[in-house]
Amino acid sequence: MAPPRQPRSAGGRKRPRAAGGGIALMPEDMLREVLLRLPPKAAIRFRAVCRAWHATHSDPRFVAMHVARGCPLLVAGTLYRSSTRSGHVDLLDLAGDIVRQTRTEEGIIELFVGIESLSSLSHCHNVY
Amino acid sequence: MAAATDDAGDSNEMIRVVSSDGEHFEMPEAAANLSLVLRHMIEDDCADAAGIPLAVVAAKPLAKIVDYCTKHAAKSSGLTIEEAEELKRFDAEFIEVDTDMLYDLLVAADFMGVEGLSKLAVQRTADLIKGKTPEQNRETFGIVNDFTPEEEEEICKENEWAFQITKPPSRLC
Repeated sequence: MAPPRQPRSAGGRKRPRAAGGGIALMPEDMLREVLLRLPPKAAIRFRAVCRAWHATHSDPRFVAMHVARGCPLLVAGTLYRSSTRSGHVDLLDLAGDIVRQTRTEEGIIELFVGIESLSSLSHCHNVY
Repeated sequence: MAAATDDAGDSNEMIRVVSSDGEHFEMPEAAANLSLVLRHMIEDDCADAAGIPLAVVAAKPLAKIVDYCTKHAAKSSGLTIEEAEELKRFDAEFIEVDTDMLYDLLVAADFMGVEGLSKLAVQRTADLIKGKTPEQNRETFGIVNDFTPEEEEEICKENEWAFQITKPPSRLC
């Protein structure tokens, strides 16, 4: 039949390999797949490695993929008061990893205390 | 060659592939079918004695991919618990490679459309990244820090808690 044809790539990669190891040149969509498999703290550190990794972390496509995966996020907050007027709250995911740390100002603290109480109440209700 | 097995469409035919550097490999058709690209080539009658040329896959990663596909095709359905465990062990040992080979496998598995291997290589990359500081990751993967000192400081400040690897923070900044 016709002369042998080259198979088309399933992923359509064109990027050449760099000398001395290519992970640094990993295509962005592959990098997003890696990022999706990192726990929250490692994902935050991931973006401090280089500009390309930072861009991948900030890309709306990554956020969309993360949401599409249905990763459970906030389930609890722990309040730390550094003074009577301000403090911060750790927001945790279901695995117990800190996903975000949020500063709180006067007034907002009361709201977080409320959430904490509700969370405790709900927990007690389930136990008993 | 033996006749086809009783599974419809299954055959014992060997498929030949040729690496970018001209090495020839053979694997059972069931193994080749784990690659989307090879499956399409086989369906299009492009698998002949000369072998399917894979222009961007060198012999070293291709040998690994042939091993992976052959192992997984032989244990594709109706696995016992022991067989599933054995396959898991095979995968764990299979992906214990240096970062150069890991990258070759990532690209080759993606090019050839071997989904299981792509997932395995991506997971291995993630496992190598987590638990490391940004500087350790740069060293591991040969990445150049292209941030300005100001940008780097800003990023670290934004989420200082994430850069404390051993224990969660007890206070902010």
